[in-house]
Amino acid sequence: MARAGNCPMSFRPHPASRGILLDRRRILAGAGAAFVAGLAVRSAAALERTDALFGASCRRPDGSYGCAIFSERGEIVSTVSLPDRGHDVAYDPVRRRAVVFARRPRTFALVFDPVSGETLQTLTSIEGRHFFGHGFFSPDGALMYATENDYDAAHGVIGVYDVAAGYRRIGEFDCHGMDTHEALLMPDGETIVVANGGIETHPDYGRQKLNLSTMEPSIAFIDRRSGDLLDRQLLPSHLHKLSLHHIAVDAQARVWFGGQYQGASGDAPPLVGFAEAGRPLALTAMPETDLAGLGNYIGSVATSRDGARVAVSSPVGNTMLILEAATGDILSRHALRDGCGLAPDGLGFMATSGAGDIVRLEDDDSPTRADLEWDNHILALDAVG
Amino acid sequence: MIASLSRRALVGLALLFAGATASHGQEDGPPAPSRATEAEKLAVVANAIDGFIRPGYARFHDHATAAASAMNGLCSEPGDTALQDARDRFATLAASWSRIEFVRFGPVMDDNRLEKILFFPDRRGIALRQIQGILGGEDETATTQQRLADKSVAVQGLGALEFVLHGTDAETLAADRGGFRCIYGRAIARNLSSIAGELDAAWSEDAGIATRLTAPDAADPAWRSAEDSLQEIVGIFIHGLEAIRDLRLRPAMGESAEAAKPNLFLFRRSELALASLRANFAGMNDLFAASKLAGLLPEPQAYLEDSILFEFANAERTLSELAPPLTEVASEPDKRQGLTYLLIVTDSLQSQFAEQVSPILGLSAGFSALDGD
Repeated sequence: MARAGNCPMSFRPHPASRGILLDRRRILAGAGAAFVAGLAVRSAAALERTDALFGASCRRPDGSYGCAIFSERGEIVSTVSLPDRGHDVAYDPVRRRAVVFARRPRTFALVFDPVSGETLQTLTSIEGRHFFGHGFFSPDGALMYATENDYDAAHGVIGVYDVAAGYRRIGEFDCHGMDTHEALLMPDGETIVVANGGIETHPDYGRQKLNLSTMEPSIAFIDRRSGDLLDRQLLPSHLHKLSLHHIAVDAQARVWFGGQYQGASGDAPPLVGFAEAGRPLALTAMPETDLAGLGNYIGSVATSRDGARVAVSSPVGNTMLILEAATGDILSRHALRDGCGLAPDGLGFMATSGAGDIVRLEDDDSPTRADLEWDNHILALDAVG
Repeated sequence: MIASLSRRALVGLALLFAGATASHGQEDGPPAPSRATEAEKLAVVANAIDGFIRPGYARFHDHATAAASAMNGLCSEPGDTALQDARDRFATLAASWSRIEFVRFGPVMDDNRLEKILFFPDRRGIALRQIQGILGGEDETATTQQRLADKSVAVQGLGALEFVLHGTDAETLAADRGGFRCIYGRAIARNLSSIAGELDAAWSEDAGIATRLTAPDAADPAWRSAEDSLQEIVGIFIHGLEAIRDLRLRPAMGESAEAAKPNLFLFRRSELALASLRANFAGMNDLFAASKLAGLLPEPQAYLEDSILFEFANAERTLSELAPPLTEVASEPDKRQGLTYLLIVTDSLQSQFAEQVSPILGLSAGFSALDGD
């Protein structure tokens, strides 16, 4: 098993980015024998065997919603029940707590223990805001940041929460765009990068898109302490309907994005590219057949632990691609029906699908299928040491 | 009245519940998928094009041209009769659009045509501000079709023409020969006629969109298989019914009669909200029949055809029993029950297409692909 801590490459994503580190042994030591004894036998065994844990929202066979923590072998370690469909997960490496955010336009977020599945706290977005489904913690675990919709103003914001004060919301930052979806902390630990999808929605109108003719997606860089806008890059005007929702940071601190095209279905715009503060957005050319296979929709983006590769998924096209970050060249193609979730795993990528598949792309000799339908994202909680 | 509506509501709820149960792992397992061949699926797509989409856009084109002609008549020979004629033509045009508006693929998605024809909802009042600005400032750039087409999508379609014909000071149209308001309205109608003509032409030619849909190709980014094409047709029902619920009914109805916001109904100035809804449902009913979509269902699920037709009939009967203005209907508890029932029927139909027809035909978007995020 390749472990992030043993990785010979120098790059390691910041703990608050998609590659969050969770030391299983420390968890077990901290939790105490009584806790481990209290775990279901299968869960405890799965936890003991694994070096890496992942978290993802899901729908269960009875139609209810939850969030599950699973091992690299696809064994379920814990689950937590959600009142409605969840989306992405964030992890506080200091207090070792996970937070699962509601899928838009819902208003809950659950703080839970990823090992036991115990719900520790339920958060509700403030009046006039709903969660967009993504968030992250500051490196010291003191603050949680969540993307939210100021829906009456049709403006994306990042809500800032004081963890020690029981996740009290202490303020918000303007994201300088609508439909702020995924937000990450850059490797400098100080800069937030957000993907503003550009689509106006309002809970009074369900999930209907209200402004397709005037969409203006962007990637914005924001100071995580002051909320100051450091830079904001737009797509060229002919691509203004390419909604940018998902991002991941590579070894050169370039922010790879995947687009969801809202224009004519017969168009075939570029869907993948990267952002760097102070530079125009770069779009990656792809062979026509690969582009067609993505169905004008990227559902998730992840970078490998060494930051040298980028994976993008299309649940619409039932396709995943792995690209070389330095060149944008496609290194491999993977078919996965309704495949969307992606996270770094060792030197490769872990992937999940809406059909319940848990697959290690490229080298999986024993893919598994859970009795769950996975939501769009996976958070990696890999072990070290 | 109340008792009968309540009983009908219960029937609707029961159907909804039955639909939900049938679609979620009942004891016998999921229904057997359709064994329809690729050719059979593409025949349904061709039926939809020939029997619904092409004639739908052709009618819309005809009515837009007639509306432009009526506006021209009003501008040159104003009077009460001419104004009424223009308003009647507008009503016919709006209804013809409502029949076909949930086709949200192909040429209507190019060049913002969809929003140019109908910019709705206008949650922040952009259109009203801009239209009033044009009228107040007598903006000359809004008086010809060509120049109007380059302006904001909010000022060049059905919503703008409705304001011209039914908004504040619209009665001046009957007396003001060659006035700015009328000339602007004429430009809007001509613009609609121009866009409708483009849609009609694009769908009429045998090459192009019709071929791409009926002869899908793996290299086509949009329609790579018969399933992709069929999904567009089924999507008209699924997304159309969602749009009726989320954009046309719920925002204006609010949670209760007291909380209703009737100003949020489409075409509330012209009191055409009900007519538009009737045309929405009638269009989908026609598409369902013309496409012969139900013919793809396996025998054990063939009952869905009657079930869907039953709900379309419920929708039509309910709408026929409601009298405009809809703004009053939403705010008065007794009358409101009809709308509440319509909402239930809409959900029931949406559920039958999304949770039963679609998976049986192998078209369901997966849990991750569903609903984009």
